[in-house]
Amino acid sequence: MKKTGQRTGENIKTAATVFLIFVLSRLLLTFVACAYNYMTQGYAKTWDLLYKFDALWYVDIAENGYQSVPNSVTGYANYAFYPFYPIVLRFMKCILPDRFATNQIGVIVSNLCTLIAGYVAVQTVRIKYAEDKGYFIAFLIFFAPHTIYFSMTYTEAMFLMFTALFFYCCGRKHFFLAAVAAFFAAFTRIAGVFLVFSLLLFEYEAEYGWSVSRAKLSGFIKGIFARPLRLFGLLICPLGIFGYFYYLYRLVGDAWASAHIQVAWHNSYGSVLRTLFYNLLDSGSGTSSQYWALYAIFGIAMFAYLCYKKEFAAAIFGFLAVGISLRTDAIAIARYIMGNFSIYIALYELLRNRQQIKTVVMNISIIVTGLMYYMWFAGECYFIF
Amino acid sequence: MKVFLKALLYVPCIGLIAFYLYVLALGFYPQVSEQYRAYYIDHTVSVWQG
Repeated sequence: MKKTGQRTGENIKTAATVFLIFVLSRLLLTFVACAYNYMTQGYAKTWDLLYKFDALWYVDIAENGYQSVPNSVTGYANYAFYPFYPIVLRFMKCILPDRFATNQIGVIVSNLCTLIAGYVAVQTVRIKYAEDKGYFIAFLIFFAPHTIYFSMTYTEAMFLMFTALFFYCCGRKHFFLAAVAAFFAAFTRIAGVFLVFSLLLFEYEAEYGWSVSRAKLSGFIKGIFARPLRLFGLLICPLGIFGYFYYLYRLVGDAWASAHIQVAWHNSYGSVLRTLFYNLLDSGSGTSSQYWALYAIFGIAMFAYLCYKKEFAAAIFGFLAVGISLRTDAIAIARYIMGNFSIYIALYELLRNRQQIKTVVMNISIIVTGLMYYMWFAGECYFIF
Repeated sequence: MKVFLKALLYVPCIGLIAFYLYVLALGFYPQVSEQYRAYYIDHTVSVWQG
């Protein structure tokens, strides 16, 4: 048993190392921004370069609240975006000096969430692999391709932080705290609501392992209803999102307005297989469609690998969270996959004992992420949208 | 006392279940304009004419 002082010292060392990796990743971002300014003979600030696409919607919600009527020309409405992240921005704007623009606050909040997610991820990995240092998972969160959204006014970083906290709490068997993390994750993005299934699996595993029988299943279900705190934990997971649905009913008259509004952006394929099939073969958005479909297959393969490793709780969250997006379309699926903590668990499990591949992955990640930042700044690259 | 507190926890649980069922029911009865219903819900028109 480690002494408290020794443990605190280790935690400080871990935090300092994660912080160092984080700083290096943001140095890469700043370097690419300088390179972009040099190439374009511009003088834009990094946070202005990051301020594109969905970031504009979140800033709009934080500053002006939700609109009750869709745009008369485009049919778009900002209630397609979920509320917790803009609420935090609004709150921070109230307490920070006026000189901070909402987008700047968004960048600060997202980066802070990323840093916390990296630290929590390392601690989560160490629960299972006490002998590992686990810094590779933090590296992946800070450097892997399609993690550029963690630097900007997007919900991905906050969502990742809450899901990382969820898995950490479940690993420590603090199930009520995990439920609170799931509540905030679902309040940030609807996919978080699927954590309730992961929570059930973690609770089942804690009681019975992975041995399944009718008697154990019925005992588990009875146990949920016999222990009101456990039941309450499960029930609070979707509270934020249902509260938002009620708010939308009062605002727009349609509780499912956030889902219905999606039709203004794109048509739905209606099933995961149809989405993959048509994006691979028809490629409606050119090569981007094929890229998204292939990325989706990569994600699904990683979640299947989690099943193979008996990480069922992480796998089910990955399948459901990515599946709900794929049911509509594959657009931006790379962002959803890399914003899902399950993918980092899968990549870590896959690479932890493969030093050479790990080195290759790390080098490629740095190069690709640098390129992605550049393409993002140029603002014309549809496939990293 | 402990048993009483435990039993008391069922009250918010029942409240949450009732709230979720109420919101789900609201979802089936949207109070929206004809144009909104046609474009966003029924998909019978392909262009938003707000």
